[in-house]
Amino acid sequence: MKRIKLSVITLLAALLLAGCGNKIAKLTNGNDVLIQFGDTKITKDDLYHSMLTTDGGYTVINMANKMIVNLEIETTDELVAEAQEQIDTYKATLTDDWQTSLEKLGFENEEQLFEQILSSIKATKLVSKYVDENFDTLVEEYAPLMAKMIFIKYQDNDIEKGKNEATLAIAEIQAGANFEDVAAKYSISIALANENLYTRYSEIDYNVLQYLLTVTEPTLSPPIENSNSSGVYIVQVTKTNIEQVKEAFTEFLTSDDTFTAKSNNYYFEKHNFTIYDVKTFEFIKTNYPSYLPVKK
Amino acid sequence: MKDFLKQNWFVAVIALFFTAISIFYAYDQNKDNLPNKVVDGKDVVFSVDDTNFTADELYDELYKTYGQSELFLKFYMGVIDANVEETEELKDQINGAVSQTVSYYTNYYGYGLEYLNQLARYYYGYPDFPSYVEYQIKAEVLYSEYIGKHAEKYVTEEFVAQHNPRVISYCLIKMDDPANPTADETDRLNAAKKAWENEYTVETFGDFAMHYSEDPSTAGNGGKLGYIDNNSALVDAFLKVALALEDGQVSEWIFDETYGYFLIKCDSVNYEDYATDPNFLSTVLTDNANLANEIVWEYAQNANITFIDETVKQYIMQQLNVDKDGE
Repeated sequence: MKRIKLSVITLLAALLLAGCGNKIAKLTNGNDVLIQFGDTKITKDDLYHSMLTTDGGYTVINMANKMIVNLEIETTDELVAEAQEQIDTYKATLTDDWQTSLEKLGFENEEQLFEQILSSIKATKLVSKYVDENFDTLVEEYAPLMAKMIFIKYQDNDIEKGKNEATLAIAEIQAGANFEDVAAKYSISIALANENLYTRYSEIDYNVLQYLLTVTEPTLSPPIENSNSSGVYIVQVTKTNIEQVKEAFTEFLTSDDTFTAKSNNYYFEKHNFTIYDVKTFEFIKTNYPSYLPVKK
Repeated sequence: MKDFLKQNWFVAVIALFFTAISIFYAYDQNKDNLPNKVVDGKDVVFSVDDTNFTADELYDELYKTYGQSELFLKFYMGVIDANVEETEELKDQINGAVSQTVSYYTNYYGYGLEYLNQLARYYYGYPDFPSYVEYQIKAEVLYSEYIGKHAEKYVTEEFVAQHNPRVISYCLIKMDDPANPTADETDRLNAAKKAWENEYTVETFGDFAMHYSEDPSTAGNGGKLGYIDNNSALVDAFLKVALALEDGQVSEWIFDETYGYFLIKCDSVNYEDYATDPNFLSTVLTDNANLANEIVWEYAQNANITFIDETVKQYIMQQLNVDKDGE
């Protein structure tokens, strides 16, 4: 009977403890008073929680990010020079004196600004590093290539005329005419005629995308009717060799927010970024979810 | 034990079942909980590899960016809380202003409270929009009380001559294109004119406006617009006539090419009748550049304020642009 009682008490204790694990990290001297009005006190704890709410997790991400970029990217003379150049360029545009400008930006001195710029440069380098480390996989996933395009619209729904123009345009390109000149002659828009990077995720016509995904060598396409049959595309694939595409592909990835988030997530997980404070966790989950480890 | 189980096997099975359920429940409730970490007696907020960042370190980092401005806001709210009594009437006024603004933003822009909460947080540092409105309205109470106590200093003959202050009501007969009124618009105008001439008097102007005015923002309140002066942002024809009226006088029907026809009444030119009007307070505060800050500082002294940290005090005084002589 005694054992049964013990088991029941253990079970109840387990149930009571369930869900009691999340904790709010406290200041060691949070009860210190900063301002007092009669009996009303504004303590360090009050200020801390207001600042956390205003900040919404940004400072935690910033502090962790600074540490991670410093662990991953070495501070070279080249990076220091780049940061200094940015400061010099900024100084040259100023109308206020230097100290006032720093204060307006929220820095006490030039060193703080320098550190911030250096961290920002390193953060970009970190994304490039992620690209380098995963280049083959990324190439397979994104299927990048460089291409130029001409779109010939069926004017007045005259499909035959449009197709004939496409055939003429292809013949002129094959005979050595400049691609941009041909585009200007047959297309209402020549923006596509510039050489651009295209990937599996590019927002282009479905039929053109399917064609690009089959191409392995530079080539000139036959006329490709677009998916809503309002015109035809002529596609000149200019570069498929990954070494030739690498620079544009890396630049594309490092400026893509979704990819940057993926890279950040990788390095935060690699460096075992762990949150112990439930309030901070909730802020980051809401405002910066990509920095949290993906559940496996 | 064996005999006990033999005799009570069914109870034992049930107990085992509940034990398994309880263990699973405890596991399920705790599996997503964050780990706890304390280093050298200090709570850790987050870590990167083996480096820990404590709540104390995060406080210092946050303080660099937000500390002074957050403290200033807490000081400002504290002064107001210590000096303005939260009456039921004030609560209603605050709630009314919040719902009116939220409803306006929702109807005209398609985004309501959440957007306004973001604005209040981002631009003014308040936790949410209702708090922002609450302290704006409570601050007006403070300003009004202070200006009321020092009316002889701020509502001088010079002030009256310079601003021509008064309280106004009006009735509007609205027209889409006032220069070319439709038959219906003309009928409505004629009906209002006839009613004003035959059924109403200066004393019952409020009833007239409530019945005939087609301006939904004032009609329900007897056409009352409130305080105006020669700097008020009103259409020219309206403002010119309203400023020329004597106390208690009603104008002729005024044509405005944008809105239609106005009938305007000067309710009062006496200070007592506009003493608490936010537009009047705004005029006085605009005339006296640092007055709002000086009022807050003076009420802070009344609230027996103590600063533990001298730098906090210096920062707040600097923000208020007050010096020690003003204490």
